[in-house]
Amino acid sequence: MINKMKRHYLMDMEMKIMSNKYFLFCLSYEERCIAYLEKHYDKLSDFKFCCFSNKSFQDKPEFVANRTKLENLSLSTKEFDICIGDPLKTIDVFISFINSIDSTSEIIIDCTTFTHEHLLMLLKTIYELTELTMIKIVYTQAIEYDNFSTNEHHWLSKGIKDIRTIIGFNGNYYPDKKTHFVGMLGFEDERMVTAIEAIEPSIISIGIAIKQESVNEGVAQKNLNVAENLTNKLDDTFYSIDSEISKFDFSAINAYKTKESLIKLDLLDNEYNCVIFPMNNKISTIGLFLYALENDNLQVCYVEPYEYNTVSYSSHNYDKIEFTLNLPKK
Amino acid sequence: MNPFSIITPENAKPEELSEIFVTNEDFSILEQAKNTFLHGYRGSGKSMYLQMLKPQFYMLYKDIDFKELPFLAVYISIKKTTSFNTQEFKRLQNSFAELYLCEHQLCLHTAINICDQLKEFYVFEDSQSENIKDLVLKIKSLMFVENELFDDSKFLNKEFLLLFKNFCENEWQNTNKYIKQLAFKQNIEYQGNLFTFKELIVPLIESLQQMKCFENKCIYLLFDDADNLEINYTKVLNTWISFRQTDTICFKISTQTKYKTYFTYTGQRIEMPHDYNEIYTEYTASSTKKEYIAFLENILIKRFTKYCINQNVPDYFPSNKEQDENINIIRKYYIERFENGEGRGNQKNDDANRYAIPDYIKSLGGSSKQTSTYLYCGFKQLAYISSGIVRDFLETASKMHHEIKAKLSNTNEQILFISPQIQDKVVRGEADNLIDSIDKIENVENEMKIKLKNLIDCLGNNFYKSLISDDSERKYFSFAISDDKNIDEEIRHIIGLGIEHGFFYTSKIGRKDSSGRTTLYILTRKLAPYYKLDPNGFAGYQFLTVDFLKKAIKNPKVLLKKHDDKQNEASLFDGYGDENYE
Repeated sequence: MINKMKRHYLMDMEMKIMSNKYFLFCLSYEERCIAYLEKHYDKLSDFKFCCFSNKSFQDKPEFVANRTKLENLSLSTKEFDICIGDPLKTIDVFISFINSIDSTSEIIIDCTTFTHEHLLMLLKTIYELTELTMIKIVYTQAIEYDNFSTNEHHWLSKGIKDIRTIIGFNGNYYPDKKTHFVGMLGFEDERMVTAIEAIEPSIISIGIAIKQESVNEGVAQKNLNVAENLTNKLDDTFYSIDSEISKFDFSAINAYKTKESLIKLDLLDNEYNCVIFPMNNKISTIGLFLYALENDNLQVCYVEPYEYNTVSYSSHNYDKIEFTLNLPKK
Repeated sequence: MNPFSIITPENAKPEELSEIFVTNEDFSILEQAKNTFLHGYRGSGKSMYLQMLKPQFYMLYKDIDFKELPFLAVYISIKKTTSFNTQEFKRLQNSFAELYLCEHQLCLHTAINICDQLKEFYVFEDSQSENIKDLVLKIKSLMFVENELFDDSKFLNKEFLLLFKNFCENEWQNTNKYIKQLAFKQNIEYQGNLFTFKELIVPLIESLQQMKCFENKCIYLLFDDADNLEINYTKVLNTWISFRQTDTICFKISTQTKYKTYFTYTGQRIEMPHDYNEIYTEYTASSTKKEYIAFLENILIKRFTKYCINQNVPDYFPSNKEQDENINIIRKYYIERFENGEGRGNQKNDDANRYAIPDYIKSLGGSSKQTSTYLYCGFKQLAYISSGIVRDFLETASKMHHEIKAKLSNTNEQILFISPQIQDKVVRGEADNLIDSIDKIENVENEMKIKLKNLIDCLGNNFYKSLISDDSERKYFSFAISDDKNIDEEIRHIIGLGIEHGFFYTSKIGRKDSSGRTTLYILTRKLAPYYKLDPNGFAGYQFLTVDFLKKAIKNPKVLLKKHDDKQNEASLFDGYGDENYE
């Protein structure tokens, strides 16, 4: 009996060593960061687990609790440190990892708790340095954000540390052109206002995830309320701009639909530099990734906050979105 | 349409800006052919000044035609998301390549803007062709890489500037392509061209100046928000300034007081006044508050004209009649006292000006506890509260306008005044928000934020106690440090934090012991409603010791000795300075 178990274990380990299948995820302060693994790790026995550990939160109790949960799963995990405040160091980690694996490997990415910036950097690294034509994406949906807050204004982050273009997406900035600001809004209108103030655009387009394309009705309604606050503020107090603030919608549950929404915006206008800020969920950010791959001029930017609500950022019930991300030919 | 909307000058048309622009001494200095730094907080008018120097704007403003322009200004905006600040470029940090590429990029950025903005004024004449051939030869001699756009024969026509712009854009994109590659590969050889200021910008400008259409006009290069440049780009720009070619090229550089360095890339420092002049755009520490109020009123008159608001400024922001009458009663009392030989001041109205409002505020306090019913309203009072920053006034007025608009059933109805109650409500809200913003200061330890709040609270409380006292001097808004040589790092840091985030402004006054000058720290009058202070008119300053400040940052309830009935150890009296410093 014991020999049989030993044999199975050894065969399992042998499979893993031989395996060119990788499951990538980001260890963070949100419970969602290992929610998918908790439910499905037994189906991933032939995958190597690669944990990108967000160094910025390693001293937070919520992060430590998640690490403990991960350890309790007894998965053989390789850990890599990434950092929000150091994009160059982070992309070097991604490059080093991707260069160490077979370029035809099978990859699953749990994109849930990567930052928007890190997710885009990771996807771009895979696109540039491998021959892969598809990646499987999994995402654990949040049913509520800032679940302890009783007032309308949910806080997910505070303060603005930096505004920067994302590595791999610095686009093409033309010095003689004006700027078109495109915001994919979530709940953080103040963060978006700060970005608008820094960019001083001539045209502003604000997008939200409409009800039919949102994770649930409650989240969709809150997104709409935040968008109304934001546009009222912009209409009334700020900036003379070439045209009215335009609104558009995108999908928070289907990346391909988000890409289609962005195509409809016709952002390849020769008169403007286009700068886009993804601030909704990771599915919509992946849609932006697909669009940006085909639109080299687009600048994708990130607003690094000073502080995150690590205590009550989100809650979930293990609902997931899974899909195959098809990468275009280079 | 909100008549107080903040207009982004970069997006405004010449007619739009001309309608609302009001000139002042700062603008007159900018018009001169000298390198000038223009410093000011966000919203103090820097971008507007620079835009008004551009040919289309300046011609409209001065009502002159192109030939009469004394200079040609080219506006160059430096935003956070330009190609100067990409993460990929940081791979080259501390390498020789970095400086070369910094100058190359800044040259191209400048050249593209010069060509783009001056092309509409360019008129080609045959006599210019030698100048153009000369320029083309010079640039071609620098090029390592063939550029299909740079066929010299094509440039000898009226499209010269457009073609030169295309050439520069092509070079710009080639450099960008190289920088993009740095994301995923290291140690990539750069194989493009490299231009410097003396090799590209100077010949370009000199060639343009020799053309009949540009008539030897000096070119002003206007760099807006230059503190967005990373340090090596800043050094490159300083190097250009250090060349001191102000007969042909002048630099006008705006910053939000966070310019990274004044050193050039050779390690020299650019100095005032040899290399540049400086202007600070706020009236925050001005001794001429009347000038600011007049300036502000002129801005509002222009905006009212633009939006067809048929109302004068004081009536648009009326004071409260009942409050005014009550204050006037007190004023008359003091005037009568003076006439009876019992006054403290030298002139009939001195005591009335000094004490009427403080007495009124005091009368609302005490057992009735009505200090909150003092209304912060009326144009002049709002102007004082804005502390010399025009944008702060406009933003507050915009919120008042929004507040009223939200209550109107007919949104097209024109608003002809803002009630004292609304004015007071919004101004109090702004004061509360300003205090709350201490908590949101980024990149600062919590302990420092608490100490800053304690210091501000301590000052506010002591200033209020002075206001309601029977002292001859009751109005304070500022302090100086009597033993400033004893300032330690912590106090310096906390005060610096307060200055950086708009809680204090600075000026200079004579030291208490007459041994030179020292820094005066002025609390923003935006906090007047929060601490129940009188923001109007002149105010005095308090000398404080470092020891008192050290106690204040730990305990906001520390009182000056003159206010402390219990004469406890925590209080220290250090006297006060003369009134009318401001």
